[in-house]
Amino acid sequence: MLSKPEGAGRIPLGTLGYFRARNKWRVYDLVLREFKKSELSQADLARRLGKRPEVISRLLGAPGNWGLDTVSDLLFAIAGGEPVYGVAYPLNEAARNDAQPDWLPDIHNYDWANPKENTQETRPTLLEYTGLGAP
Amino acid sequence: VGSLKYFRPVEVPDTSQPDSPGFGHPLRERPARYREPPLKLRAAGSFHHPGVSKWLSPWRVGAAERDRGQGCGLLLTGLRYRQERVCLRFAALTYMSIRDEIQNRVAEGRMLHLPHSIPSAERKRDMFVSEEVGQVVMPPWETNVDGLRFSMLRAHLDVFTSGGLISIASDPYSKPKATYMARIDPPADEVWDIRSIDPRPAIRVLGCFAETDLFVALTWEYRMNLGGPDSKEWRDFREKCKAKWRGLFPAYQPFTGETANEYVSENAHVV
Repeated sequence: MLSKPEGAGRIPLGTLGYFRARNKWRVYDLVLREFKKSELSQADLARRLGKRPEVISRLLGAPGNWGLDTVSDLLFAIAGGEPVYGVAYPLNEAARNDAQPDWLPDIHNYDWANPKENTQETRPTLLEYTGLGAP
Repeated sequence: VGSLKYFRPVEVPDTSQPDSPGFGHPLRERPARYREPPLKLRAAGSFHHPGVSKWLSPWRVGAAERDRGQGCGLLLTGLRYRQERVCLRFAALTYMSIRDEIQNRVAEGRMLHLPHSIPSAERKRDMFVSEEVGQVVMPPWETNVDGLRFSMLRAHLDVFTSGGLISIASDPYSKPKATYMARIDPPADEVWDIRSIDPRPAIRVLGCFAETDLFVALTWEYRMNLGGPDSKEWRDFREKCKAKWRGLFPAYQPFTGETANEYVSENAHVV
């Protein structure tokens, strides 16, 4: 799992990459929700920004290489908005209890180091998962 | 978990003997296939699933006997074989839904539930990944270009599980380049493609829906290795995905929906 920065330890590149991509998708989600709420057409938005419709189509397709200027332009052109800045600490927040479907058995009893050992014969039955039957 | 129900054996009279009650019945003169219906299945109680409201083959009964003890299904009885005069067999037949199958595959270590990377994030949809996909999307990632790319792919997949707004194309060819998820050709195969196009190199993750909001990611490949839409590489990629599905869920076809909202219930816009 991802871990918070500690002391002077170097943050793994993968962790930085994950949060970069997450940031892009969060901004994209914000802009696209505004765009859907505005009920504007892509053609209208293109006219407002003085860009070709295919450029707007590409921009709204995925966050891609959006920069701060792109986000500002899009939010303002859609509804005269601007982003609100704040900082959240997602890795400090408490883990949710529903991290997996309730119909999926508790995985903590398994020997995950040797998953192939969990065969049909050795693994608990569904009755045991659900507590309805004796092991 | 369904409760077990017990059935009384059904007596089927042997009409072949002259002193038997049914001897001389007109049906006796007909070919055996008309006289004796194939594999009649009777069940008490109510259940609704197309998979068990049919005739059963002896093979299925054998499989059911093997799986007996999991106790998640129904007791079905009254099997009557086509070629035998009187043959009643009583078997505990376990009906397993796709969720039961997924549970088993997870327990066997052949699949993995992909939780959101951030434990506090809300779970709106579910994704399971094969061993192959799990190897690249589960941290820790290597400190190189590939590791960086795979971490971004994981963020891409987490958009799905956290219920983020995604674009879906059900037409394999008519879609914007940046569509998040698209069904690939032929649509009847129900193979879906999660398209992580940014940053380069782009990555494609293929998989199938097991039910609404439940995606099973089975295989992945760099887009640059796949060639054009009609290329052999794409075909092999698709067939690999289908083979993996068959290997994991031999008794189930991928989920089929009429509209995009039957695949992703909310926060999806069709392109």
